Amino acid sequence: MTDLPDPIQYAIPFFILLIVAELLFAKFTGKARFEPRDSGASLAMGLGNSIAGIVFAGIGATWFVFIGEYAVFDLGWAWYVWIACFVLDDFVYYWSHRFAHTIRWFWADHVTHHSSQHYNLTTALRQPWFSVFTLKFIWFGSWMVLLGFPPAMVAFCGALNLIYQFWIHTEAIKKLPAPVEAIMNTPSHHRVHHATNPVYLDRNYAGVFIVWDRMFGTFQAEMNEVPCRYGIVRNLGTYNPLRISIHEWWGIIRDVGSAKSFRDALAYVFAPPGWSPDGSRLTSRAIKQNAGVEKPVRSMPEAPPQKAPAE
Amino acid sequence: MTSLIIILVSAAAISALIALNAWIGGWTPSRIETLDAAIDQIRQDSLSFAAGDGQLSRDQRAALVCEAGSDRIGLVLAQGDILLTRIFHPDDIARVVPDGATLAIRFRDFTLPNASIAFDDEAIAAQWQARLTGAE
Repeated sequence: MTDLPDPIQYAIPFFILLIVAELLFAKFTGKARFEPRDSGASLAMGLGNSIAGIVFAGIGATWFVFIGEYAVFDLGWAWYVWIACFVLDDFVYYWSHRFAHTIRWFWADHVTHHSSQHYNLTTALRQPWFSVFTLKFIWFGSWMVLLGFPPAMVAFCGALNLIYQFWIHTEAIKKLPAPVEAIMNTPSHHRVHHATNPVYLDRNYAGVFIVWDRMFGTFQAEMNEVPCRYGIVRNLGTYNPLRISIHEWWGIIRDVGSAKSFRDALAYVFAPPGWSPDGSRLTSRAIKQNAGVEKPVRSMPEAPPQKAPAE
Repeated sequence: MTSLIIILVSAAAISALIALNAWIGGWTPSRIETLDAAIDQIRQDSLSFAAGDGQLSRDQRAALVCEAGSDRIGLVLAQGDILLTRIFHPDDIARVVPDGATLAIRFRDFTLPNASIAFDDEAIAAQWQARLTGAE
């Protein structure tokens, strides 16, 4: 495989500088929030993710070299191939991210990124440690290589995509000019993605280009009258990175162990997060239905009458 | 070798960032102003929660609220500068240890911290111990 530098390694110093800048902004304006234990957990998870990346790098690389042999085309390294690769990679990211929220197997991995009730640049680095076990590099990572994009180019564009997503994890920037908000993923759009307000749940999956959400009906604009409440539906009270990393995996194991049928066991793994056979827990869709906000809205509707308890 | 250096430098930078965060502050410890505020907090996370009897801790760092018509209990805990909300059943509690007017609660869920809740008097603490253990 052709060797390209890892752009994330070069971005780390800028990540650190931007976090310091946001910390100072938070201190002097009060318009962003940091708490040391939360920041520490997020940063430790980012470090653990990097270590896991190094430890497991060989598995992904071997897989991509292997499937590269079966590529349909040889697209080469022309400049326009780079552009196509970046855009298509973002399209694949949209779908992998959407599945990460709607299939519990992938959510068990991705939930760690959403597990902070804060939203600042350290949250961007709160990343999972055990992604390799979801095999998402096979399910979602193979398409581009099979199409004929060089594996190193795909990996490079994927890293650029992640670097782009760093700076949007902030409350310091409210809204950008309308043309930017229309096309690009921005802090405002991504705040919605991290919010647990029913109207914001499972919206704005975009990585770089918000146009995918607009195309596939998952876009929700941030509304001034609905301040974002960050975190997950069942928030965590721990700052221990290992506990944060494994809590949903442990939940799956416990649920599968208590399943009354094979079908239920499968559903506990592959149905949307929050699924239960008796409906005693709520999926995001059920929460949105109960709140009367199944579809994206322009402004908040009147609250509907609440259904019987079924959390 | 390069990877090891990057990891070591990153670990040092993380320690420095946490120290900087602790040093410059910029957050206010959270506090539950009233029992109604605690109920509002629970209902934000669980729209269908029908609040019954509730109690705010003496230090306003915790609140417990029974759900009307069920054995579920809503918990609001002040943690750092945020409020953590959970709804649980008595089965979710591993242990409740009374100490005068204070209850030390240990949850089975490893993502919840141990909670020490101080009530106004021992009678109220005893009443909540009974509820938390499903004895009432």
